[in-house]
Amino acid sequence: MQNSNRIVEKVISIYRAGAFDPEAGFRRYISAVGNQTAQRTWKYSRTMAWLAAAAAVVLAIFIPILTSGPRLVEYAATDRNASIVLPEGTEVMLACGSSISFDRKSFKTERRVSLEGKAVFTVIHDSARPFAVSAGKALVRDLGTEFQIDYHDGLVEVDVFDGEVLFSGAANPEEGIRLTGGMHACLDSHQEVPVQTGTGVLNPKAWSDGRFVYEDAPVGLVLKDLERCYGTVLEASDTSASLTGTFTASSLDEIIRIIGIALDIEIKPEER
Amino acid sequence: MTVKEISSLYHKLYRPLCLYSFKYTKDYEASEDIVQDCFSAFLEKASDGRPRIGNARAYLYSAARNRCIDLLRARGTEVHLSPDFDTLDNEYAEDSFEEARVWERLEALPPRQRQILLMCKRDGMAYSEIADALGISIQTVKNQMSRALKSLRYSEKTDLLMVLFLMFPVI
Repeated sequence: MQNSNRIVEKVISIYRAGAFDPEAGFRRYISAVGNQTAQRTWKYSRTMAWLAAAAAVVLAIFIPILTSGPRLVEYAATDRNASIVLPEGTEVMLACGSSISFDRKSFKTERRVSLEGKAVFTVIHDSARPFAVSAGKALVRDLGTEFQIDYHDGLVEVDVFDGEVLFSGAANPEEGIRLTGGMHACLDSHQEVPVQTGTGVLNPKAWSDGRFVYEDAPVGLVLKDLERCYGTVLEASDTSASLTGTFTASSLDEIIRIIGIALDIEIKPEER
Repeated sequence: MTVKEISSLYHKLYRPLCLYSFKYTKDYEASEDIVQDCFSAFLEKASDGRPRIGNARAYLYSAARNRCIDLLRARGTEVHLSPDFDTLDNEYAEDSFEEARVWERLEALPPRQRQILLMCKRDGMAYSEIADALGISIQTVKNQMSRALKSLRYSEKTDLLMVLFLMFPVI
């Protein structure tokens, strides 16, 4: 009892909220080796499934057909963000709940992937093998680039961080718009041609690295940024100030605490 | 190792190891960095085989100890590896497990109780000061304090009962 009292006192004296959290440690490890967490699944088309069944029956004859058939590779980030390197070196940071797929065979000659959800692409440009992403009605072609596509509720939003992309509807690829670093454009389900709008949010990529950079940003815009990143509506005790600085956090709680301290205001999720 | 096994290893050993390293470094961030390094090194080694948790614990503790000593020396503290040092080190390692359990219970307390407990025990505030700061009565502070401490100790008793129960299953 003496001993355990000593330990209770000791722990109380050094306790710090949020420190030594196993879950945070585990997440940190996983994000460092992110590649391995992406779940890889193989999908066959219906015809292929049928072909596979037929091939099983007359195995010897059909093996060559099976191995030369089209094959869809899908990566899905099931419960957390995942980073994936495609066969030719393109890096994809996939948001939790998103997936990309591509045809393993044709990818060698024509790099085309389709996206559900949100991802940042860092593409090694190769004019002989253009890189293109289709998302819903949209087609985004890379011209040497780092860019993000967010496809949600029928709306496709593209943010370019570096280089240049060609953003168009998949139905009329000739009528695209060129976007360079810092530009933002959208295509909704009623539009045929994407529309360039001002910057969507200040840190569109923050969901992937937890980094928020602000330069004299009004609190209102900062809140919008955080809301978009974490999908929570926020309210602040004072919205008159503006914020400058670089902030890094691994959770919404952490970032609103840090920014709250920086501005001496209280930020919290809006109560419904 | 699968992601699930790695997660369970973290949940078993991460906090005890951090608390252990903290005894040497007295530095929250440095302790977490050291433990993270140890896990990475261990998991890299373990990538082909499936080590048992006992081996993991021995490996991680000795790796953390070495890194802590390196850090202390880099900061200019003299560390002599004597039998006394080993005795103390053993005590650190044993305590770290119990401390991690107490830490968990502390985290599980209702936020208000935890706040009052920390204000009193960690920050050394008097009951009257806490009452003023939080706008509650001194009696409420007292009640919350005793409840908080009871929760921490109550769990100890249940642990003890559990041990007795396991030792004498006939009863």
